[in-house]
Amino acid sequence: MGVCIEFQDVSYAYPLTRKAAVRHLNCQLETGKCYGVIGPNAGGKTTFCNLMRGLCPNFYGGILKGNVLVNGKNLLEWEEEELSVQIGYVFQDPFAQVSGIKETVFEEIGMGMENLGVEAEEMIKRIVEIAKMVHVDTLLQKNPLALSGGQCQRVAFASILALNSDIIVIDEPTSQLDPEASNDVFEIIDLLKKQGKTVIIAEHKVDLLAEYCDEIIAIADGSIIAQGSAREVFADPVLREKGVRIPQVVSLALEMEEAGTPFCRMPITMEETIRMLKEKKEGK
Amino acid sequence: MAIEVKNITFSYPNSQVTAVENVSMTIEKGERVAIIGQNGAGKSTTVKIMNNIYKPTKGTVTVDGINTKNKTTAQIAPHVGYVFQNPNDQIFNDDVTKEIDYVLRYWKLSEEEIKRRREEAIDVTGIRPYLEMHPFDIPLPIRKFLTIAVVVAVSPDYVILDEPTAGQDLWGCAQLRTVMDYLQSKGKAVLTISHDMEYVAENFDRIIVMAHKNIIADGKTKEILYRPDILKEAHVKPPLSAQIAQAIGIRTKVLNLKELTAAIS
Amino acid sequence: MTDREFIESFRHYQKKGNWWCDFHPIAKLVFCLAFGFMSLIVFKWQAGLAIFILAGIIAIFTPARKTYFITLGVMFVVGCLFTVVVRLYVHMGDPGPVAFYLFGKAVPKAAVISCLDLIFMIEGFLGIFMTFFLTTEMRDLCYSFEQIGMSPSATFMVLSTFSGIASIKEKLNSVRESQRARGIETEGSLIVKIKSVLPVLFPVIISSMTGVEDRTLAMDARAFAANGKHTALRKVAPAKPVEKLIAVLALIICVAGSIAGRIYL
Repeated sequence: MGVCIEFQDVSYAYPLTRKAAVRHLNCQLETGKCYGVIGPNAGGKTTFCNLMRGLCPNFYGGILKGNVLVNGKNLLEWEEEELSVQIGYVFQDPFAQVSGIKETVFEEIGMGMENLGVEAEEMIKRIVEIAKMVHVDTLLQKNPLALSGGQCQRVAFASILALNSDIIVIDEPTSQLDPEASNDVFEIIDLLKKQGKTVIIAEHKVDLLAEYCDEIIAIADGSIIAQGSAREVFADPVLREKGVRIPQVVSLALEMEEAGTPFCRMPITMEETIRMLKEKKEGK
Repeated sequence: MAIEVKNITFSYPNSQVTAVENVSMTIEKGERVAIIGQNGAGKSTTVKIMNNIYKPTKGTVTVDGINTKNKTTAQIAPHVGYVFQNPNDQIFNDDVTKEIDYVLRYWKLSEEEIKRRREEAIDVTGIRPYLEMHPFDIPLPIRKFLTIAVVVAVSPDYVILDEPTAGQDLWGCAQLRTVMDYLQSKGKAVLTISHDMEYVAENFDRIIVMAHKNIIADGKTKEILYRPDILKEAHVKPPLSAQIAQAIGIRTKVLNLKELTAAIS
Repeated sequence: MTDREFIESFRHYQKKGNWWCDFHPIAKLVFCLAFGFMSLIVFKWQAGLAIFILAGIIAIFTPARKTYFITLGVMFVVGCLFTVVVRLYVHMGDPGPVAFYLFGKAVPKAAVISCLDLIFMIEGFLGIFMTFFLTTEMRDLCYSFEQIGMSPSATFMVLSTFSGIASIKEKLNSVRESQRARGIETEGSLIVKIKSVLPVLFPVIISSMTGVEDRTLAMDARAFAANGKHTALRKVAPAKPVEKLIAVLALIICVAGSIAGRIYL
């Protein structure tokens, strides 16, 4: 599979700060994979996401060293509006993402397409399709400002999906949602994966990431400290050293190891753990 | 000494539907209580009534025997503290220490007393490395600890935390435990609203479950988290350790990974 | 409206089924501005009354009639009666032909007429503007302006200003709640209120500032900066010849009427 985003020794500092937010980032993201970005707060997760989308440095200013390549082309050579179509971005605060100028969810979802000059009939078709996909089809006539957090975040997703970007970057989409709404968000992410999109999610809910992501990138103190499959990364002791949260089932496996009854391999989902524990029991 | 809530009903102004109906509970001083339940179950409304932000349409709330009915919210604040979900609604000083001092000066406490309370609050909440920063430059999850520090400095007997673990990393969760232990050592009650069942199972002895505008269960953490009927009605999942324990047929009621490991071995 | 009908409505021009509501927004704006300014320029009760009656007739035939007459009634009672009382009181006992006697003092005719002029100037002006704002959606007006060449950024600014005012009110409420909960009184005597201005206003200002940044990013994510032609989901029918004619006629009447009014009335 091709590489869609590549970081070549990237360092970046926000304006008016002495310390770089991220230092010497090197990584390649492949087309069609789902990446989970984890790490402590203020460790560089959001900056990593902002760099891909060009918000650093285009919007925030600051100093960028090294190269960020999006689909093989340097970030700084992309036209800003072209980049916004290439890479969809869903933000943390569900309420800050509604335009505030559209009176129905239907029009809200259509706004991005209006800006791109899509014809009306095509817009209507796509809005209906996407609304069904993210389960907001019953909310079409509602005012976006009157939605609950979970509903609002789904509408935000719909609005970005309407642009049909191949790469979607999502920054802590569930930090302000309840568990049910969080699960909805991950269901949407699963759908995107199935459609062959490249998805990058920064999140604290590592249990969900372990279940849905193909690869995990751990960032702490501005550097990538581990990258690889969920199984590899979560087992890496460097995560615990740097205070990065690991899934509970991994903690359980580590506890079991300490208690002298290790698993044959590192489990990463609850189903897997239960299955392995049952096998163990029967094996006794 | 307790907050006593008796048969309160409340509906928001200009709204036909009630937000909570006939809710009663007692929170004793020194207790740790978690309120759980789905969004819209009436959790936030209930605690806002306990803090006297809203006045119940029916029923009474007394704080250490004082009826809140004829008191303003600010008069109840020294007794019942509330840490809001969004710290940005509260912070307005351009300096961290000024922010903590504000209410203390407002109450005309002595300089020594203000300093003592401020320093203690800063240490407990772990925000000392951020004192030089402008409050709005501090990362949001840590900014929340500034609003916790404000409440700690006020030193109310009852502290309400609204979704304290949301958006927090491991550092934040550990710091939160420090704050709660400190509050308990001072004999304060901590009441929290949370969706984070691991946090609830680890830190709270008593759980109140709310669903459809009312309390459907109130009891010991171990009991409540092993009542699938109640949890289902409230749309809540038990902590992962309990889920695994039940799935593999462990009979002891485990609430965390250590207990689960012990039970398996 | 069912979802199906709702979606279908975007395939056609927006229609409310009322002649005045569906009047082309810009033609309507020209019409109302013309008469509004005529009322201002002429400043005589005859012109004001005529425009006021015209506005009333238009309003009767729209679904907004109830709001129109209630709002105008309230404005009339509060605003106009107050000016009348003040004016009459000031001019009581002035020389000149007497209209009637009040509390044994002569009220001159000139004073009564100047009162009427003022009242109907205001009522005519407000009346005709309300027939516009009560029956026109800002988004449709903006769409029409975009059609004749206004930039999408300008329309965005207009629309978000309108919605921003509504959201600031909500923000004010939540900040006020939050400050009261930490012990700062926001209600009571004037001094208390003045003291609470900073703690309430500052977070609101900060949040609206960060709100602008968030919104800019969110709009950027929706390809707002795209260079090409924008399309619109919600469409308004282009102005019919008769609507254009009415707008032009209104302009002519305004100019001619203003001149005639200044000379003859």
